[in-house]
Amino acid sequence: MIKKYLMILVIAIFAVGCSEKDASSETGSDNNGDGKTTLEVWWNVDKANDRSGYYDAIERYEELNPDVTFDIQVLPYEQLKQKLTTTSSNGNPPDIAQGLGEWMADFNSMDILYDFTDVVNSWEGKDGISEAVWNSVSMNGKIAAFPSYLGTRARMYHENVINEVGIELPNTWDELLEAGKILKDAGIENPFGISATSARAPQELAVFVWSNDLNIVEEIGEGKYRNTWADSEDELAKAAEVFQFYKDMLDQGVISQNQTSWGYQELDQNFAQGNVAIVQNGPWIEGYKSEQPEGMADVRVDGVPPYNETPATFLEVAQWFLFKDGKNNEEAIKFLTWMGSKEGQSYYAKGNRTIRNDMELEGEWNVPFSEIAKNGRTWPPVPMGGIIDSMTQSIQKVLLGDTTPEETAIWLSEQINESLESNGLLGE
Amino acid sequence: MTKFLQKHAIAYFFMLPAILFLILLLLVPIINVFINSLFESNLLTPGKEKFVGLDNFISTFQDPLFWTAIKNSIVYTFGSVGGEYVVGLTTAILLNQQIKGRAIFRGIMIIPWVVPIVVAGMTWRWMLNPDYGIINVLLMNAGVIEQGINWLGSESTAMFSVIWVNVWRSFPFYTISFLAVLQTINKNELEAAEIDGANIFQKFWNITFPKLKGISMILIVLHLIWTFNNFDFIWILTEGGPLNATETLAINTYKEAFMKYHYGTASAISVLMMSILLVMMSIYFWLQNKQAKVGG
Repeated sequence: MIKKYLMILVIAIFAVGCSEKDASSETGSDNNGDGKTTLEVWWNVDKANDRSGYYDAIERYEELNPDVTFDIQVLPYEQLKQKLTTTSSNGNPPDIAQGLGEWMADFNSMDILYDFTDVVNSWEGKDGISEAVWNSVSMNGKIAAFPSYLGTRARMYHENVINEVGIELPNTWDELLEAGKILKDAGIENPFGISATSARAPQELAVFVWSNDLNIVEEIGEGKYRNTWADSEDELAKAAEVFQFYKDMLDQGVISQNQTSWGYQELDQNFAQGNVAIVQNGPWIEGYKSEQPEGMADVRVDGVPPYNETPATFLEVAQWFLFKDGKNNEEAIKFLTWMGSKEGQSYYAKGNRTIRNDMELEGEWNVPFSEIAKNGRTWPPVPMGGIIDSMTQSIQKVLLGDTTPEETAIWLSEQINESLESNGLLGE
Repeated sequence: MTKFLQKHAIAYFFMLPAILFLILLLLVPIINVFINSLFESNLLTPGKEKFVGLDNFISTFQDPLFWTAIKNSIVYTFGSVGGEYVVGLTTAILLNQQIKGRAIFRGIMIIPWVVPIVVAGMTWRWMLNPDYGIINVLLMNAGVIEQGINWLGSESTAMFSVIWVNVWRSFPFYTISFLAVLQTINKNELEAAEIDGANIFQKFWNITFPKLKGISMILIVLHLIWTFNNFDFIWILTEGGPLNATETLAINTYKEAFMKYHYGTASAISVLMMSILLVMMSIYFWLQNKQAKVGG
């Protein structure tokens, strides 16, 4: 009998032990009891493939601040966004997360983000970062995220291919179609490179939309937005022209049929290997020099991607997010402001990726990006989740489906407005 | 009653943790999904949830994409389960023969099942790559095709490719299960049939196959449920594209919940998925019972 009661007691103790709330395991970010603070950081940077120097920056920060350690979780972007959505909604977010610019409006609408406005206004390093960058992390007058690095898109090309075929670099869509035909006739399988899937596809589409003097959404009244393409004949014609451009590229062999399924990995790999002649791409391509030295040897960066009416490019500002329910926001802010300082930037956002305008920029991989920054545009300040999926589908509709460019433009316009309406942001 | 409780108190006590976990991890989320399906719930408009009755279901039925997803789910589920059954049974019969290196083949055969889905999915994505995927290279070298096929990027081949990869991954589970039953079949029975003049197909059809009926039912039911709910392979390979050609209900639910944040609609689709599965299972068990009665 005693044995039985002892057994019950042991089980009860075990059950209580299992259910006890362990503060350190809950977030992995609380004080360790040894006076050190552990900051839990979620991002998509794998240590083995860290071409930028994020982990060097972390190491340096730990040297400077012996009372801080880091618990890093590496997640692919999609999984990262999903995990941030669920954990933040349940009041258990990480201390810091680095994510894409298009997530900011979604998270801001969910009311989970920490407001950086006061922190930034009292930060002595504020003026070292341009107004355009601060605007890209601001929503409705408040700073909702902290800028991490820039990923401005530029026109890139293989110089040897262009010289061998003997063509001028195309600046406009028409010039690209002409140059593409010549390159195709010369045996180049992919004269121009695009993504038709993954997060890159809508970013490229946005550049073509902006460069044809269109907006993805217009602000209609206070806090209300609308896609106006279907409201005016002129805008609809311009939007249809964008999709006609995609169709022309495919029909004339400027892009290959295989590209209709390319994501960013396929596009970057093919360009780095020399299988694509011209592309719009970001500064990370420089990192492929060590993996593909032969293919990358003749790569040059020069100007904005081909445009129709107005030179435009995508100014991607990767962002650091802190959360209202964050357990260590004070320590996290210290870390982020250091990462935004000259010293921090010199570790992981070197050269063309820096958010700062007071860093020394030299060399062919740095100067061209800073020169085109004035043409940079960012996502509109509306939740982009549903819109981005529709933008990707619109490219596939026109490249793989049998819808006309005008029908595709009308369809995308409706999808954007439906997304705005479902989020209570549609203006009439 | 008191006597019963006294007798079984310890048993119930030991069951309690399992029951608690089941309630917390299964029952509570399922009930929550049912409740959510009746509300207009959007994560982007926090605090503005409102009861809408069956509106989420009505709007789901009115969405043409839902019917595309239903069709795709059925094709994907039955295509996968059918393919897995045939390949699993064939390999089990082959591995049941007295051949040299049988143990090695049995070990190799299990590899697809133990490879993590993400790794397998990413590997197949590169193998099916239209530019330098090994599948196209092999088929071109063998003279089967003249130019590379965009397996995952074409509407006509995407679903076939996704089913193919799923069959490759899941067939070892069938093989192992069938093999276990095949090894219990009495050799004397087969030899007696042979003496009576039965050929190889008659032996299989009249002796071997009836013995596999029980395990077949379990495998088919389990895999119908798993495949119908399968999300990861399709997401890694095509994300439901191109042009929704591989968008199943599971992908549709994910997009509604985590891309558009329409939790109400996503919950309604989940409830419908559950209902479809229940109907499918009921039909299957009804057919089984009918067959058993006919068989005596």
